[in-house]
Amino acid sequence: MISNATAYIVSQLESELKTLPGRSNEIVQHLLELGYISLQKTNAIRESDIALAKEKFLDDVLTSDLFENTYIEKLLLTGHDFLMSTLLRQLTDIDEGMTIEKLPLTGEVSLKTRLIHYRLDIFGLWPLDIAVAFSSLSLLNLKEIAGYAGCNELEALNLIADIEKFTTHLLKNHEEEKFILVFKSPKVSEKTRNNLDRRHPFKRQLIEDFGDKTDYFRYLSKNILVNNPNNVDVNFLQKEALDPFKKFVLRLIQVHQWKDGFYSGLLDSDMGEVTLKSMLDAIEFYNNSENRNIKIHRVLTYVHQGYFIFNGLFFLQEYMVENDQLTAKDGEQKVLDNILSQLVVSDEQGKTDFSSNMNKLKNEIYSEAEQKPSERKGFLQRIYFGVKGLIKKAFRFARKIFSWIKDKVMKMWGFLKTLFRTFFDNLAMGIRAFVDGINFLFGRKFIESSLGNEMIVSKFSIDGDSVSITSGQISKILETHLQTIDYNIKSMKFTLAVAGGILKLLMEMVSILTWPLLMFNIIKIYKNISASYLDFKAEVI
Amino acid sequence: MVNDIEKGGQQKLKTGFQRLLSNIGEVIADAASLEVVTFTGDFTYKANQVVNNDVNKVRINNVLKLMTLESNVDLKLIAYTNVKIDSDVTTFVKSDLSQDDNELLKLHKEMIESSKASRQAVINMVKDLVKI
Repeated sequence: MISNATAYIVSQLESELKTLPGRSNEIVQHLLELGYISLQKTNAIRESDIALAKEKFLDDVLTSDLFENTYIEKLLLTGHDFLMSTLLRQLTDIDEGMTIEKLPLTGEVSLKTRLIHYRLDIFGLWPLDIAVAFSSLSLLNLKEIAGYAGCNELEALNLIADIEKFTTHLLKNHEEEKFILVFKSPKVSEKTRNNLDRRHPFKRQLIEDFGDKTDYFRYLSKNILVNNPNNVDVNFLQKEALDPFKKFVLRLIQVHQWKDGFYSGLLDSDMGEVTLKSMLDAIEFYNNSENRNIKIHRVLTYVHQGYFIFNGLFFLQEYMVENDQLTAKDGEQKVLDNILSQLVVSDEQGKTDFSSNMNKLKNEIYSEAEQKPSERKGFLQRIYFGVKGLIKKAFRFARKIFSWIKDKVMKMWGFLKTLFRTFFDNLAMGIRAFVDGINFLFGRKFIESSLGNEMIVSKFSIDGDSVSITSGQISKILETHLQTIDYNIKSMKFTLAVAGGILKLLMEMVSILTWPLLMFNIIKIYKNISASYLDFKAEVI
Repeated sequence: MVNDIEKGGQQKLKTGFQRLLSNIGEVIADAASLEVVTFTGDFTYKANQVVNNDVNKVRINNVLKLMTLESNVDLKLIAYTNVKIDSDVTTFVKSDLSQDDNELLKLHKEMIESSKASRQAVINMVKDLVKI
């Protein structure tokens, strides 16, 4: 029998589970992103649309050569939602996305063609439905990226699935001046324009950085960043703003900002007020996290007639590219270890504040996760669910994360929400596995199959004993029931491994146990066991 | 984290884990033999039992409640198997099995294999816990 105290733990964890963000909206978003649900349906999706999309997606997965069957079987053991969201997250990953070995033939419609169109869409180069066949347009738009990257179409397709590597590649292969970007943002308010009119310090900085290296920088100094706005060469600005490569780099920056949680607007290449604010937020964030004092003019200035100049070179080099060859798994481990070690030594007040603010963070993430994907102006309002790149960045200031939460530092809150979305996701998976394991151990897990008058119920005890009870003829349900048993036994090995891992650690630290400590340990153990059990190639999912 | 967990809750948490470990230790002592039992019976549901508890699905609790509370449920033992840790196996099978009952036997056989796998998984977990 399960004891009252154990039942208390399980019930508390089950309550906790209900407050954690689920994956259902994420799955719907990815199905939209890959064209399994039409974008036009976004604001009125029916359950039947989702069910059909899931079915079609799984059919495509099984007939594609993108995933090995053994991998899918292993994922299935951790639950259907986990299988769906993991595969979808891997497909839509642009941090360390999947490598495609060969381009499809014209006319092909498959998971691979959807993936290609999704990647082009992220970079603003896919105007059609994601689900359409691979065509000359698909190839033409891949060629455009290949041209920027100086490689062939297949290499370009794989480069854009690793946005950091792609950015580094572009930075290496283009002149510095190609990253000094001009954009027109006519709708930006007068107040913002005035606030961002930093022509003089921007010019000084440009001279300091680049001197009169090229005609381009000389021209900027003499004809654009001038005292009298009426003398600005607006034709030059107009031409620069239309430069296809520079427009592409601006989109790349918007994608970076979105991926890192600074930008929550539409991926639409529109450098409006929201995108500008996200840039300023990023500067402020890095200033705060690294005790630096980078001024706005280091990066941006308003010039004239709605035109801005943006130092994309500095922005990308400083904030968007990590030079350390750290893996996301190491980064995540470091962040968790730091939080745990500080939590253990923190005083009572610190523990209480931390716990309370973690709750606030969780509630906000939960509210966001509950919002269904929506469509505006023909664009999908979406969240980036991968965090590999972000975690690598978080490694830089892992030691500060505990106090940012404890003190609820608002400037860091957006970043923390993005970072912790995945932690809470793993916590939910860990708790589910733990509770399943404990329920199994104490005989609370029943496996039931029924159809009409046919019914089979099976129950296992902790020592392996089992009882099955049937009613009516069981011919129609026997095979399904046996398959369910087989699935449950296999998944039980996983859940027991998680439960055992958690119990083992808690045996060692029972005297200092608190709920936040328990939660963070569940995340850590779940991550470690799932990585070794499922033999994941991707360390962070 | 869990909102309403104050110091009392933390104490319960600690006690809970200690009890949990102790329970696992006690029950695992019974792992020396494995018992697999298969019953059959005829269950019918009254409409209110289905509707009041779940709209479409007859939950397992309803089934068990029915078995416990209603004395007219007649369970028949189809097969019983005992597997000792030294691999001695004893099986009793109902004597007058019909052709249709073969499926029940198939279920029983599969459950023996699943039970072995289940016991092994628990033993592995305990071995890991006590660092054998």
